[in-house]
Amino acid sequence: MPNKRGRKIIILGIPLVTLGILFYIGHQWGTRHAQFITGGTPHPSNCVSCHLYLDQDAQVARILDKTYVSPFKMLVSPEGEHLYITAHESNEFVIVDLKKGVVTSKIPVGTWPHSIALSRDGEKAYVSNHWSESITVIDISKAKVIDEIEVGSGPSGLVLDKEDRFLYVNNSFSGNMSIIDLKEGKEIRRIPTGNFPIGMAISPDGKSVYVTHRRSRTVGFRESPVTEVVIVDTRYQRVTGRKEIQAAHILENIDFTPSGDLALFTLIRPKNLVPSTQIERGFMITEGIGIIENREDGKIAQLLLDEPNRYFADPYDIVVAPDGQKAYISHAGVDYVSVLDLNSVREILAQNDQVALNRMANHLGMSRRFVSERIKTGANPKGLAISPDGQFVYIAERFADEVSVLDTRSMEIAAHLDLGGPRVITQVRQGGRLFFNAARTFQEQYSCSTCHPDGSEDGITWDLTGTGRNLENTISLR
Amino acid sequence: MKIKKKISAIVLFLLILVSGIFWFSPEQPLKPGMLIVTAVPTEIDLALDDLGVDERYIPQARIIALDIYKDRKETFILTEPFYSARAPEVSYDGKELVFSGQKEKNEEWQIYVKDLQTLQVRQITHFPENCTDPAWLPDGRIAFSRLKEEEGVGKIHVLYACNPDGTNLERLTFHPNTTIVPSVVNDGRIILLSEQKYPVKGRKQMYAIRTDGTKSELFYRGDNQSVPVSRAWESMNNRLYLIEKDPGNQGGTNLVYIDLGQPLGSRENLSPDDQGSYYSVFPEAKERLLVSYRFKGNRNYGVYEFDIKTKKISKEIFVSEDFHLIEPVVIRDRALPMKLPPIVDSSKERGTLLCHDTDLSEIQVSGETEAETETFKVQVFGINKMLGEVPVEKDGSFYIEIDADSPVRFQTVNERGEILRGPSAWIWVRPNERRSCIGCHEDRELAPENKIPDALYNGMVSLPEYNKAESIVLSDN
Repeated sequence: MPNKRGRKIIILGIPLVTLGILFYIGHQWGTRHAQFITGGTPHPSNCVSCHLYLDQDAQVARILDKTYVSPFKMLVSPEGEHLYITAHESNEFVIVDLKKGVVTSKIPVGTWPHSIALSRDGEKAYVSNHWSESITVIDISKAKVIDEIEVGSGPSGLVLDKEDRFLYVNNSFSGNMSIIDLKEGKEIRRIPTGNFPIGMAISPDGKSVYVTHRRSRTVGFRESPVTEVVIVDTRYQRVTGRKEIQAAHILENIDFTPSGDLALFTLIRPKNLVPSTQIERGFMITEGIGIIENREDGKIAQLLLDEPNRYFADPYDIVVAPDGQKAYISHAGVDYVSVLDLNSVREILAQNDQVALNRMANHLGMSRRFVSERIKTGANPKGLAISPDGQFVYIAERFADEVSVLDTRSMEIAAHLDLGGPRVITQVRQGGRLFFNAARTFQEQYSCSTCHPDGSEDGITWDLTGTGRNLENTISLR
Repeated sequence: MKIKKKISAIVLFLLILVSGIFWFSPEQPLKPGMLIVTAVPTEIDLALDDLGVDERYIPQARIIALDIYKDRKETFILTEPFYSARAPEVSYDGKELVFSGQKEKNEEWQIYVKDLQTLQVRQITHFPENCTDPAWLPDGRIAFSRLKEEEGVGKIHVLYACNPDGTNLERLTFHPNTTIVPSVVNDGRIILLSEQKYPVKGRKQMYAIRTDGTKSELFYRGDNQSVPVSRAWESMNNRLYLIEKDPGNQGGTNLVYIDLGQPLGSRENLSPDDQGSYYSVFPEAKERLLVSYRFKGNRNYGVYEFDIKTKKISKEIFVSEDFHLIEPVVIRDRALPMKLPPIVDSSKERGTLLCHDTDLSEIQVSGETEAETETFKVQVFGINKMLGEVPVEKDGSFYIEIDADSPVRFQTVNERGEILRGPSAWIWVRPNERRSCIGCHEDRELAPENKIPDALYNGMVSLPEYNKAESIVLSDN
């Protein structure tokens, strides 16, 4: 039997040893957990680094954080009086009265609403919920959700056919397309498309749906990415064509000219195989458009939107004017919209054969020939929409919670539509603005999100050592 | 008691007076918005011709300041004790002025900084040679040109940089070119005017380099006729304004701008029909320039406002019968350009160069077979000696390691030993620098193809491998 002093030591010692053991086990578990989550070797972060504020569901975050609107993609009503917006942070479908310039309705939808399709009569809207695996159907006149249709994983771009009978939906995460029969109100077919289908447009004659992809299809080790534009025939609802877009990826969005002679889409030409010895002269990333000539033996071209000493990072959305003379492209990484002269684009296509066009794909001086204007916008311009008469282009400024109105006659921003987001800029919001902006890279060539789109990964390996060895995968930051 | 009170009152009064003098100093003569110009006596003939010594070291010049918005043009001489001074530039925070000055007639020109609040002047450089054309760098250092005797080359201006107290001196250019008028643009690089002096005189061209002397590349070279001759100034709308010498212009010089994003394809002459002569330019606002200009038939350069929209001199700002007025700048703070991360590792003595495809070129070679038209090997030259020959891979690539801070140039040779292209312009690598080039005299607006050059698989060739100075054939000699 220990004496009084010994008992004291045991009483104090046992809890201390127990605490020490628990701390050791907890620390070991925490280290393994941090390594598993981050995919990295041990680093100086601790539990608080992730769990105190950044965890969106944590109590502290709920008190300190704000819910922003974050306008993402948009459509204008057929008569041009309303603007419909997906608000990807507040998870809403927002209706703006364009005459009054005010928000009239905010309708809750699924998680991260992505894109919108409108019925021809303008009475129904279909919203893809990127993180909810569903399509929300909205009765616009009643501002009410009337149905929710299950689809594949990660629904994004979507279009309606000419008869408003079938809805075509990209499932980005599962790499396929859901075809929904709206009469029956359910998915009737799911067809494989490619690696991360994202953008979608239907040809003016309604015969084809074009699907762009964010990631390259599988290529050999140390080979340049090849990303596809998949063509789906609406009559047979099958894939009938695959256009290979060489040395490019992140084909975010696509649009047709009204005559259907051209399909235009945004793209990034990464230099992931080029040893990273410098950034100058597009040695890391170049940004451009892809063009498909819709005729027999039609050419496929890529033209850079960048300039030799000035880059226009993260081209996102594209809309073509109703007269087919101009196209507008948002550059989310540099807060600009580029205005393209499509007749100049047609001239370049007519004057050059496919071999010459392939050479031009790396030419940083080409933009002089077809970019007519650069319009400064608010923070992180994403979706674009154009009024039926082509006079106004609406620009969704995601991190400003605003929509800017570009008057295409004066090529000046004519108005800003406030979507009613919080005025306070939280640390998380500030972090988002930094992550998605290229201002901190040389000549604004790329942002963090260029290689980590949506905080995820671009699916390619990079030679960051500059020696041709040790190619590294881009990892997801989620 | 009364006397004590009186003394206390006097002391208190003196204290208030002294503190009043201390806290409420007289009005500062130099305020934001004021104009600073270099005044040169009329009898001095100003020319913008040769990038030579005479143009850089103008005698009896002085730097003066004046408030252009006051009706009465009261001027302040900022370089009073100096025999001559010129090339002023205001710091990014608008608080200091750097300039090139000569204290006495027979002394060398050195770089000085004047505090625009205290008006104190401090000497930055102490070289036995002349120094000129200072420019503030984004990291707080000062770049300048130093007239230097280079072995085997002769006297040329070489670009240097140092801390604002003169320490941490670093040479930035290493080619046998004379290099002057550095200016920094928003992407953080230095734009400078350079002309090859060895072995033959080259064309005046503008180059861009990083602030540690790495990644030098051609930036702009004028059109067929005209050549840049002045310092370039960046405006708020992403343009670079400069003066060009144009043999086709009777006045002699043109005011031009280039777009910073695409300098090689955006030149616009703002004075196509102007018979006058421009000496220097400073962008004061988005649509307004301050120019040093001389009307046709006039003797003196004066400072005028130039309207970019109408492409005309719109207002007289300051003219003098006794002086040319050149190099206008305005006291104001400016946006700090990007600070680029340093690449140079001074503990290293070597750097590498990777060429992606030597046959990618705007210079066409004649021939029918691959043996005639394709590069078989590349000859690498230093000053007066060959450093070695490097085999070229099937895809046209080669990869070499060379001594840092030494000029090199290249010549491509086919399988028959015939010279295809070259010798190239001089380039250099800094310690630890890894340079790349896409081709050989290729289109300068081309980005690289996304592929791994074959030369990387086979390892790099270390040069110099031998001295072959006796046997070389250079096509420009």
